[in-house]
Amino acid sequence: MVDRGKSFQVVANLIMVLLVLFCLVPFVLLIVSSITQENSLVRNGYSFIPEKIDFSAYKYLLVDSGSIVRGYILSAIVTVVGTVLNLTLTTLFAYPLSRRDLPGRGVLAFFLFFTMLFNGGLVPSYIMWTQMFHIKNTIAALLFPNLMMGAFYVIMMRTYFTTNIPDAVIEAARIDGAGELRILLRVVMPMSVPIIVTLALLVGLGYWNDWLNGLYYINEDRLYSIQVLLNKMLMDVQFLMSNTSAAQSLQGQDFTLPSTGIKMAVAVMGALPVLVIYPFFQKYFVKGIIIGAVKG
Amino acid sequence: MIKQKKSLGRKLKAYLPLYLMMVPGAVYLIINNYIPMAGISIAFEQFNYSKGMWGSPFIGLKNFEFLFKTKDAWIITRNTILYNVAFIVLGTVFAIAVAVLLNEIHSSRAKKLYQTTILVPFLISIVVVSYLVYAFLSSDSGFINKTLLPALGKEPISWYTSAQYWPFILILVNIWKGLGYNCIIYYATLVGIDRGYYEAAVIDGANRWQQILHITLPALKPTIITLTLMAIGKIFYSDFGLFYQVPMNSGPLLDVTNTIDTYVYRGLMSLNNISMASAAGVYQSLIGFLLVLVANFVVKKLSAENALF
Amino acid sequence: MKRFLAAALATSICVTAFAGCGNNNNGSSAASASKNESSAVSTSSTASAATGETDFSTQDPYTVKLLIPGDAKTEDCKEVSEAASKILQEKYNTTLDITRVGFGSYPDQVNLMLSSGEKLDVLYNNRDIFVSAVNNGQIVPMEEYLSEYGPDLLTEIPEERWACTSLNGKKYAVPANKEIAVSWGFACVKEMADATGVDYSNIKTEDDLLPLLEAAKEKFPDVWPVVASYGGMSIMNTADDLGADIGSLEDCTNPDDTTVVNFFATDTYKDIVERRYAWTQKGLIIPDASSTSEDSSAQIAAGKGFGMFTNTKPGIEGELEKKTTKEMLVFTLTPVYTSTTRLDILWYIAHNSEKPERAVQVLNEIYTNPELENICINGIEGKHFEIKDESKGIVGYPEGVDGTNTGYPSYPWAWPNEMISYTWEGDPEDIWQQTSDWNDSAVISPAMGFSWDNSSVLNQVTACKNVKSKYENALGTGSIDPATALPAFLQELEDAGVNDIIQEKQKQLDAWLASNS
Repeated sequence: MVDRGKSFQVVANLIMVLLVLFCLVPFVLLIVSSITQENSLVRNGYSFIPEKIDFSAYKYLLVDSGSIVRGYILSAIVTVVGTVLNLTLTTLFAYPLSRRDLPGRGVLAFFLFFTMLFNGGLVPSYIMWTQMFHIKNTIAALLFPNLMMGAFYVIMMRTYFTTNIPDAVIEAARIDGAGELRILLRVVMPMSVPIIVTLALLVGLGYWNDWLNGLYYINEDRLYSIQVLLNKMLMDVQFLMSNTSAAQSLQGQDFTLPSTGIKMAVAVMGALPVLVIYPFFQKYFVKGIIIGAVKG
Repeated sequence: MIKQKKSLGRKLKAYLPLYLMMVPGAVYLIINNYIPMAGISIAFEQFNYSKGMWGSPFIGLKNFEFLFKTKDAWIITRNTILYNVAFIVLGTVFAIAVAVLLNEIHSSRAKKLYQTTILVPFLISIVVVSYLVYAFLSSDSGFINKTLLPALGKEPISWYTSAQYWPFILILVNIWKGLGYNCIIYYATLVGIDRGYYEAAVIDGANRWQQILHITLPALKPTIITLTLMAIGKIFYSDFGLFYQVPMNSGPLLDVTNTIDTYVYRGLMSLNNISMASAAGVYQSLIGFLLVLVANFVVKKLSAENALF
Repeated sequence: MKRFLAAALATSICVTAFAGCGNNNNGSSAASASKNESSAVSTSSTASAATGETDFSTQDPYTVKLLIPGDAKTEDCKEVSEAASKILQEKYNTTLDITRVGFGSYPDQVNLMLSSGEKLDVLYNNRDIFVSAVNNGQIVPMEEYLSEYGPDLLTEIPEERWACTSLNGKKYAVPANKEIAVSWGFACVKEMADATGVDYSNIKTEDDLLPLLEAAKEKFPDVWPVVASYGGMSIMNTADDLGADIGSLEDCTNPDDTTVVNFFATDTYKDIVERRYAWTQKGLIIPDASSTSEDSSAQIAAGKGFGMFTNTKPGIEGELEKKTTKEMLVFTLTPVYTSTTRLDILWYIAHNSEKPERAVQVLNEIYTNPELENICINGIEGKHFEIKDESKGIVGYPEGVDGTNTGYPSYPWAWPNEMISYTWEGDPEDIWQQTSDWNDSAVISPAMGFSWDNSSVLNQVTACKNVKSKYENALGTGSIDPATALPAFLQELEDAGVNDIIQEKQKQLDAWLASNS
């Protein structure tokens, strides 16, 4: 029995290691390309062992276009504030929905789900946010549109609540005289750490990786988040690929198209902070398991 | 009669705090989602910027015509649906398999490492993914043609003009990119399962496979149903980056890479016509909506509590 | 005296000749000379404003918001706006607010700003949205304001150019004064071409390139003789696409032929794609050219490519040299020609402008006042640029500043009239002169001035665009066999309704020709 368990662990770990390689190998190629000298990259093709190492892509990003640091700080602030706001709204909405006895539950769930299917498109949202709420070129533009609460995460949380929180627990708390808010805060939330941490991670990623809000609502460089800055470079290439007349006109200018190395460095710079921070989140998963065990 | 009224009043009073909790979220949804929905009217207008959303002339369904007028209508619909079905089925199977496997692993340090790394692809923007794919598949500088195939003594393949490979490449890229994300959602549900069930099962002599079959998967069922229902609502949509940028907009691949979104983009690029674009969006939403209604109805019949609404 | 003359000429370039600046044999040098003495310039501008016989300095105060692509720092934009406003304030009691948006986000940003009714007066945009922008009410005609607020625009922009930016008898946009003609050609690395020993002095057509390419292939087996740019390769042709979409005059250098045809169905196109397919088979064109994600110059710079098809224009060798870091040889393979499409950058008045007349006034001043135009293009002297040679009007970056770190990058072609601004170091000194000569030398399409309105065949246009993206690049780069692909291409185009487009285009063109003869 012990032996079988051990061999299972070996096989399971082996499969996971293969999977990790599958996910990481392209990322390694990404990093290597970002430090390969441009000419040798174009001439020799992509390779895991660079012929000539060259950090000029990073130098360009960090030194020459100096706004990167400010972009990082802005992104960090937006991510933290946005995640807290989102989780507050999401939890407050998901909990009542998870209550089987709530009158009008189906209608409310439909009200929520409907927003996933239909949207009026960019133009009406833009008009509303800029003309009614005047968020253009303010930090609110990075926080409010689209990201502050989404049906997807509310439904995920509701599903978790319905399946993992027994009605009896809530009933017991009510008999003890606790109000609904108190039940949510003191009983339900502690039992839901795994989903809260998971959603915090996913929402946080959503805010960190978002550049559309920056693209539509910001055109002052002091409010460019890191992803906006990085994506701008990639977007200029896209634009030139689809617009030959501007491309021809730009030929003679000092307009330097980002080289392959810079494109790759851009990706690394956007992903790296998350990779550094992510492991810190993980201990909460472990905590989630313990709580799960205790509750039974 | 009076008694009933009274109990309804009391009932509402008891639930008032719950309704109040939902107010901030509901307000946000109304502002962010419902008010802009008025913009759906643009799809039925010949939109004029000077006249605005309410003053533009109404032209009925004319904006929708371009979606159905050609032979391509069938190809793009087929592609969009088949890819989405493949993504839903394979994506779910792989994500659950990995989540279960992850859950079975004892070493918490290893767990941490695996979880972090499989999320890496999700962090990279699809534009960069397209460069990465290119780094592997490029005819004359790609890793596969330049290093891998010669090492195996095989002839290089012209990937970007050979349509037959692309259904697999696109599915692979999609799974690669989305695996970590989906896996985490399932994993969160898994770690929430009461350990007591497993202990009881072990005492009853259940082996690992039986535990997975009878405890783990049933516990995941609500999550699987929820996620799948939500994915069905998006079945007429496709990730633009995956289908446009990853194949490098290569013409010879169009029969297997053109989806409704890329068709609309290619057709409307530089036409500057938001009415037609929003018509396409309304069409996609409407089909998704109908499919979800049907699917939700079926789920409701089978297990009412797992229905979305 | 000489100064005065120079300044006077500067404000009256382009009065007579068609393709821009006909009579300015000394016009452009005069323009650069005028910049040495800004006071002379402003005197002359005041003088020209005075011809309007109105003193505009007592108008109500107004701010004109101007939108142009090309990222710049917000702070720097403010500073430049202030400097520009100083000139405008004195004369028109108007301030200027320049907002610059990245190239990639520009189209989105323009549509959003126009849809929301937020403040916007003057904007840059490309030719291809001209007709739709008029039709869907994004922009307003400037016709009624021109005589009072834009008299210099009226006189300096030739009627033939106005025709290209007019619709339904109204003038809608100011075409940027820059090179407006094109010819197509092939560029390659001179050193390598010399090394092959092939006599390249007589290369006149694409077919003539073959011996050179084959020799290059033999001499440098690791280098691809022809590389593509972002999946595309220029087609050596003289067709006029009549604004946009399928349906062209096959050879617009022939003044008598006004039949609209499907260019992809012509023998000219067939020959080109068959030749390129044959070249790819011989290994003369880089494989999978239609999916390259690189710029061709970058590939040549890296020593991976020998040559590329390109557009040509004055100073093209120098431009390519900067990008490829190699001395380049350019063969011109088609005549120089021009058509409506070539006026590719237009300046519009936004429909949400509260005072369109003031917007026209500012455009008028930017177009004619070298001092103002120069501030708009190049920014603040000493910060964004530095005068390197006073007498020739040459500027360059100040110490420590370059293209990667300047807060206000300079894209002269994007502004209404680059030809009255300074020349940059590295460009030919007489670049504006060369440009105007080049414009003059162009053969003019018989359909010049015709603007195509596709609103009645939009369904066919969207379908054809998808068919085009399936075949055009692959055929044009020789990546697929035209023996099977070309008939399939034409058949699919027909199914997509290409004939409806061509018929409609012919109908509009005939009507236009009739009204213009």
